[in-house]
Formats: sequence, C-alpha cells, structure tokens
Amino acid sequence: MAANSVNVKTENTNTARSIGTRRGRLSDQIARGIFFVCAVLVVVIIFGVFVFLGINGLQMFKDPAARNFFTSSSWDPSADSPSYGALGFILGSVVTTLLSIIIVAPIGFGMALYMTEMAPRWVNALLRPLLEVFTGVPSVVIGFLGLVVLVPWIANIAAPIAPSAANAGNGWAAATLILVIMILPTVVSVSIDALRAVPDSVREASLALGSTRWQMMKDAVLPAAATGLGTAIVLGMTRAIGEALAVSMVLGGDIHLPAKLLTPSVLFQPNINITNAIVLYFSEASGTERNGYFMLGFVLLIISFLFICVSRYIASRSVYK
Amino acid sequence: MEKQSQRPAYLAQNEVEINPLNKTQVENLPEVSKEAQHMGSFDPTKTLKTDATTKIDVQHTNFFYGAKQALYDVSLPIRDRQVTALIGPSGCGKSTFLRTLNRMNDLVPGARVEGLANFDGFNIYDPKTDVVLLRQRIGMVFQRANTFPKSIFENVAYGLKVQGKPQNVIKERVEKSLHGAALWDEVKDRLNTSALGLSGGQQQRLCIARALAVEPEVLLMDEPCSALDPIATLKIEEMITELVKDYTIVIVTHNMQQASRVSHFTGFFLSGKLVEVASTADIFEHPHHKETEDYISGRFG
Amino acid sequence: MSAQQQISTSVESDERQRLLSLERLTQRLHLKNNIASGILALITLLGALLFILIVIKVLWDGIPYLINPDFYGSTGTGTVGQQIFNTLYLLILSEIILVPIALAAAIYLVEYARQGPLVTVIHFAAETLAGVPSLVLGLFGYLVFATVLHLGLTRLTGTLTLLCLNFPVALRLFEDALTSVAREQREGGLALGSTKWHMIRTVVLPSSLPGIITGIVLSAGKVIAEAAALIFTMGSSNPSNVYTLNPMISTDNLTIHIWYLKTVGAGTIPDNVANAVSAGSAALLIIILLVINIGSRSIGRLIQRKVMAA
Ligand SMILES: Nc1ncnc2c1ncn2[C@@H]1O[C@H](COP(=O)(O)OP(=O)(O)OP(=O)(O)O)[C@@H](O)[C@H]1O
Ligand SMILES: [Mg+2]
Repeated sequence: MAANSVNVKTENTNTARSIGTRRGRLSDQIARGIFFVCAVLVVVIIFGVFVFLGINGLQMFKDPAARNFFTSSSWDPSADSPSYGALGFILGSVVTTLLSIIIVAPIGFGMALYMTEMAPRWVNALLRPLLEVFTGVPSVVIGFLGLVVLVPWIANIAAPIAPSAANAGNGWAAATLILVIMILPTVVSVSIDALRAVPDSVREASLALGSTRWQMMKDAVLPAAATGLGTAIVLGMTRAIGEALAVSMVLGGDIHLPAKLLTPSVLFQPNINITNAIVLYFSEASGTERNGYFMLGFVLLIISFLFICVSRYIASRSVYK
Repeated sequence: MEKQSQRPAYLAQNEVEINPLNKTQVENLPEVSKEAQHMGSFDPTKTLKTDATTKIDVQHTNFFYGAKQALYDVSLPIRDRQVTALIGPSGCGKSTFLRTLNRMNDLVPGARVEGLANFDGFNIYDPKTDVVLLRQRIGMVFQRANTFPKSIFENVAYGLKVQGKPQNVIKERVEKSLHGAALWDEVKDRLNTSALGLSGGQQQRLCIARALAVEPEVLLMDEPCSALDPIATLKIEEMITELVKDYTIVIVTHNMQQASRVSHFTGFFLSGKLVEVASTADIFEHPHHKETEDYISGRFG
Repeated sequence: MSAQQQISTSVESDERQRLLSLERLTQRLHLKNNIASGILALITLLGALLFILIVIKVLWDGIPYLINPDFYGSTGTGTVGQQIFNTLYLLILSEIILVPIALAAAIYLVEYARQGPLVTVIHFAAETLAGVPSLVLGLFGYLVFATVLHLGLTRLTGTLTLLCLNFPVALRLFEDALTSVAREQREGGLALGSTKWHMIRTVVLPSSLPGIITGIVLSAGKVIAEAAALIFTMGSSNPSNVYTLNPMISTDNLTIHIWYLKTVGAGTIPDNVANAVSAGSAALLIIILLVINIGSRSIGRLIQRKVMAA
C-alpha cells in the first residue's frame, strides 16, 4: 500500500509537470512565432520600398514624353509639350556628393588618425560625444544655419564671379559645404572604428623597424585599415546623396540647370538636385510628373542600394573585423 | 593538486617542476640533436669570447606596469657579437626586459622604467633618446608573429622603405634576408601574395627576415622559434650562429637545448629578478644558484 | 667603454659612417613626422572648432528666445508650444510602436535564429533599409500608409514611416545589447529547466537592459531630429487644436516647422519672426540632443549599477 501511494504521487506530479512544460512550450512557440514575424518585417519593409517606389516610378514611362528621363536635362512638366529629363537633378546630386566627399575624406581621415593615434585622452573625451551629437543633428538646423550664415558668406566671396551677385550664395557650393558638415561626423566615426580595428601588433611591428609615428600611420595603419576607411567613404556618400532638407534649403534652385555648366560660376548660382526637386514639387504634382518624383526617389533608392552593396563588398574583404 | 601543477614554476621554487608535456618534448628531441651535430657550426663554445666588449650595459633596471613592478634591479651586460639567451619561467619578465632595450614599452600606457642601459655612450632609457634611431639600430622579433597585411615582399621591404632605400637595394636585401631567415625557397615564387596566407611558422620567419633586412646592430628575438617545427628551428639556429659574426643577438627562449646550442651567455630570470648571468656552459654545468639549477634540471627531468 | 675606445680599426670607422648616415636619416624622418603631426593636429583642431562653433552659434542665437516663457505658448506666430507638444507626441507614439517590434526582431535574431541564409537576408535587409534616404522613406510612407492603407496625412502615418526609418537602427542596437549577455548566464538560465522564452524574460532581458535603454534613447534622438520623412506623411501645418492624443490628425513638429518657415511658408509671417522662431527651435533641438547623448550613457551606466546591485 505504502509503495503504491508513493507511485501514485510521483505519477501525479509527473503529469502536473508535463502539463506545465507543455503550456511553457506552447507559449514558447507563440513567442517564437511573434519574434519571427517581427524579424521578417524588416525584409518586408525594404521589399515594399523597392516595389512601391519602383511600380509608381516606372509608371511614368507609360507617358511617351517621359522617355527622355535619363537622356535629357530639361524638366518641364507644365510646358505645352512636357519634358521629363532628370539628368540635371541627377547631375546636381552627383556633383555635390562627389565634391563633399572629396573635401570630407582628407579631413575625416586626418581627424580619425589624430584622434586614434596621437590625441591626448581629453581630446577624445571632448570630441567623441560632439561627433555623436552631430551624426544625428537635425538637417533643418544645419540648413537654417546655412541660410543665415553660410549663404551670405559665400555670396560675399563669390559675388564677383557669380552671374547674379544677389544669389551668389545659393547653389552647389553652399550645398556641398552643408553636406560636408552633415557627413563629416559619420565619416570620422566610422574611420575611427576602422583604425581601432587595426591591432596594436601592426603598430608595434612598424615602430620596431625604426619608423616614425607618421610613417607608422601612413605605411602600416592606413593600409591595414583601408577597407574600413573605404566603408567610411561609401557610407558618407550614401548619407550625402540622400540628404534632403538641409541641402534643399540652401540650393535655391527650381527645375532649371544653369546654361553654362563648365565654369566655376556654376557652383555659385541657384541650382538643382534630386532631393530638392522632390521636396519642392512632389506634394503639388499629379499624373506623370508625380510618378516622375517617385522615379527620382527610386533612382535615389537604387544609388543608395548600390552604395550599401559596395560597402558590404569592401567590408567583406577586410582583414580585421 | 591539479591547481598546483598549473602554477608557474617560480611559485613553487623549491620543488622540481616536472611537466609531462615537456618530458615528451624532450624525448622527441634527440633526433633533432643528431641533425644538429651534423651542422658543425652549432658549437657556441668555439665562438665564445669572454672578453667581448659590452654592447649594451644594463644596470639596476626596475620596470613598472603602472603600480605593478615587473623587473627588479636587473643588471646584465650584453656582449658585442655574442648571443645572449634569456631563460626563465613564463611571466618572469623576459619579454618585458627585452622590450625595454628598444623602448617598445613606451607604447604601454602607464609603463615606467628606472635605471641605466648604456648603449654606445647614451642611456637607452633616457627620455631624450631618439627612439627612431634606437630602433633602427636595435631591431626586434616579437613573441607573436606580427606580419603586416601586405605582400611578402612589402613586409620585408617595409623597414627599408622607411629608411628611403633605393629600389635595387631593397630588392637585393629582401632576397638576402629571406635567405637568412630560411624562408626564401618557400616563398620565392609568391613574393607578391599576401603574407597573411603564410603558415604561423612561416610568418614568424618572415618577421625575422623583416628585422634582418634593415641590418640592425643588435637583434632582440623573443621566442623566435616558438611556432616553428624542429627543422625550421634548426634553420633559424643556424642563421643565428651565422648572424652573430656581425650582429649582437639577445634571444628569449623556453628551450634549454636551444639556449645551449646557440648562446654564448645565458641569463636566468625569476619573478622579475635576474638570478644569474654567466657563460652558457657555466650556467648549465655549474649554476651558482639553487633556483637556476632547479629550473634547468626541472626541464631536463 | 675604455676597451671600445682602444680598438680602432677600419671596421669601426665604417660603423661610424653608417651610424652618421643613419643619424642624418632619422633627423629627416623626424622633421617629416613633426610636419605631418602638426598638420593632423591642425585639421583636427579646425574640424573640432567647426562643430564647437556651430553649437555655440546655435545656442547663442537661440537661447534669448528660449528663456522667454511666451516662446512656449500656442497663440500668435512666434510660438512653438504646439510644435513641442507634437514632437513629444510623435516621440512617445513611435517609441511605443518601435520598441516592442524591434526588440522582438532582435530577440529572434539573437536567441532563436540559427546562422543561415535567413539571418543573412534579414541583416542585409536591415543594412539596406538603414541606408535608404529618409526622404525616399517619406515617399514610401506616403504611398503605403497614407494612400494604400487610407490613413491619410496623419500622425499615425508619420509614426509608421518613422518605424521604417528607425527599425534597422534600433534592431542593431538591441541585437548588440542582447549578444552582450554572457553565454554562461543564458546556459545557467536554460539549465534550470525553464523554456527559452522564460529564460529570455528572466535572464537575458534584465541583464541587457542598459543596452536596450541606450537603443531607445538613441532612436528617440532620431525621431526628434527627423523631418524629411515626415513632410509627405504627417504634413507641415497644424489644425486649430493640436493638444489631443488623436493620432488621426495632420500636424507638424519642431523640425518641420523650421523647414516650413524658411522655405514653403516664407512670406506667411515676417522674416524676423521666422528667424527668431527658427533660431529658438534650433537651439532647443540641439540642447535636447546634447542632453540625450550625454544622458544615454549615464542612464545606461546607472541602470547597469542598479541591475548589478539587485
Ligand atoms: N602590458 C602589461 N600590463 C601589465 N602587466 C603586464 C603587461 N605585460 C606583461 N605584464 C606582466 O609582467 C610580468 C612579466 O611579463 P612578461 O611578458 O615579460 O613575461 P615573460 O617572461 O615574457 O613570459 P612568457 O615566457 O610567458 O612570454 C607578468 O607578470 C605579466 O603579467
Ligand atoms: Mg614573453
């Protein structure tokens, strides 16, 4: 009897426990399912972005007038025979992005080198938080500052060579400098990470061979960090090409590319780019023109996507991770 | 008990440490030793010069990692064109000592050195010492291979490029030092491929070649053979006996046979102190201190 | 030393020659090194000055308005009370939506998913989404949330668009926070016989709380700073009463307001008023971001200490 009752008891607790675990398993399954859906949501969103912008953008080509999208620089939807050439916008984005990255790269690498290889601790303690704040700085704040400070300043300097002294501050020059401010912190931060990823043994190896610190940076550390620095450049360009409001605030242009492109003065007159066109005209537009702005957005999306692919490719080739 | 056997030997000073791992190593070694005997140059006693001038005269050196003292009052003459071996249990400060000699410890934050190391009339530890010049004269091979992520050629050429040597000199010296480090035959067909593709032992020899290329007066080697197979080890040892005709060499090693095969003088470190330094034959045959004897015999079983 | 002096052979003088040329060489190297170091220091100084001066300029121009209580009112043209409310509203609503979703996704990736193509795809998707310009996401939000889902230009549409924008950022930060929990801790949790979900709730989430808080705070900074993604999804002007929790109305926020005053709306109010409001708002935004950035570190540390103590 006694033995029996013990048996029953253990059986009871066993079933109780197995119910408990079964319930636990069920909630585990449900939780897992929910988590899975949330994780896949990222894929759904990016897929949706491509599909929706692609479909709406490509629809513009149903209109025969839009055939010149990639071949002409004349964008004039409200003309009697409308024209949808986007080359001018694309040119604007490309020029400002390239100019800004050309300025940012040496400054960014220089700052990153100084901060990782030479700076006393307090410099880093001061600059790292500052850079972090500026990686997330509202673009309208920089745009506003650009309008108040930068544009009048450029206008002063460039008035003699600009076609119109009054508008000399607006345009690609101002946009480029705004982009420099917007992307420099990103480039510096990513470059610092890249330089930090280079193990100290590389530095020791160089110094032990009798190199100076500068030779160590130039010949050992920079080459070893090359892939990371490449990523920094590409990420900077990704940010630059997609930057909208700050740039749009100082560009001052509408839809017309200046007539004379191959003179320095082209930088110092109201001018255009992709984001400016979308910001200014999208909400009022309809029909082919509206799809045209989606198409411009789609072009931006494709360019950013290519940049990301390039940066992933570069990163995949890096020696140190 | 298990814990105790893992302790470094200096914590159990009076016990003879018998590490089964070392024993098997020792059993494997005779083959190699035979081969060593064929290479006639492997007898440092023949090249020992007890009256050799002192290249670096280290006196009363104390070294601190922050608050932690790693070297206590170390005095050790390093003789010109002789091999000085540094032996001692792990963590006793051999690498630390070696790194003070070309000021690599400058890179360790909070590190501090006291004392005197007279090299050619100036004190190595003096803050005013030109470390760039110093390191060009006193080269170093690190305990762990630290190849640059560059091609094999670029690695060896690095120090020469630093010195701004012309291209033809670089080419010639790269080949010469790869020969010297017993690596030439293995890499001559792929000089322009990445050095990171080499095996650990090959990378270590590449680092040796890189240090040789700049022809320093003194070569500091921190366990240069720890990642090498017996044959490559022998090649390096042969190289050392060759090099010592022109260079002063300081080598850290855990391998007693190696110390006796290549070195003229041996210093024994224990817990940051230099217990004794004498000619290698003396250290191995008539050690003056019990600790030295224990350490050496412990290793020999 | 004396022995060294006694020996004086031609070898010795060769050595001297070599040493002399080495000395000359290092002199040159030092010169180049000093020039290069000087240039690097100068570049850093100028870069740092640029950012410091921007902060000073924004604060200098803006603080005079900030210290005036009328600035925070909601009547008249020179006030930003409504915009501040909208910014806070948007911040809270987006965090409420963002945090659970991003955290759940991070938990899946860190705790459940096996390394494989799916994880790679999700990471690639997140990385790509993080690189999409916010203006483009604004267009997407307009197409999908405002048009297809018929939500119109509303706070809700804006919030959903911000979710797309912040998801990848928060995901990465949360993933980092979760992975930083030591493996032994997890295995300890599982060994107690509980289910994985139970282990996550009781072991992983509490110990990764500091990292999660940092993620929340940093994404909050992004919400406050964003404008481009919102102008086509939430709107750029206010109804008569914004002080409501209704998510189905179209409003602006601080950043949109600055943009609106200086571009589309330029001329609707006098230029000096527009500049005053913009300067004040810019200063307010910079102060908030400074506080958030400094705060996120110290909050993280504080919570860590509390968790450790408990
Ligand atoms: N960077 C450092 N900071 C603090 N302490 C250190 C540092 N490097 C070494 N030490 C300590 O200094 C002591 C001596 O170390 P060292 O590397 O010189 O030993 P070692 O004799 O070379 O040992 P091994 O044979 O294992 O290489 C050790 O106790 C070690 O822990
Ligand atoms: Mg060592």
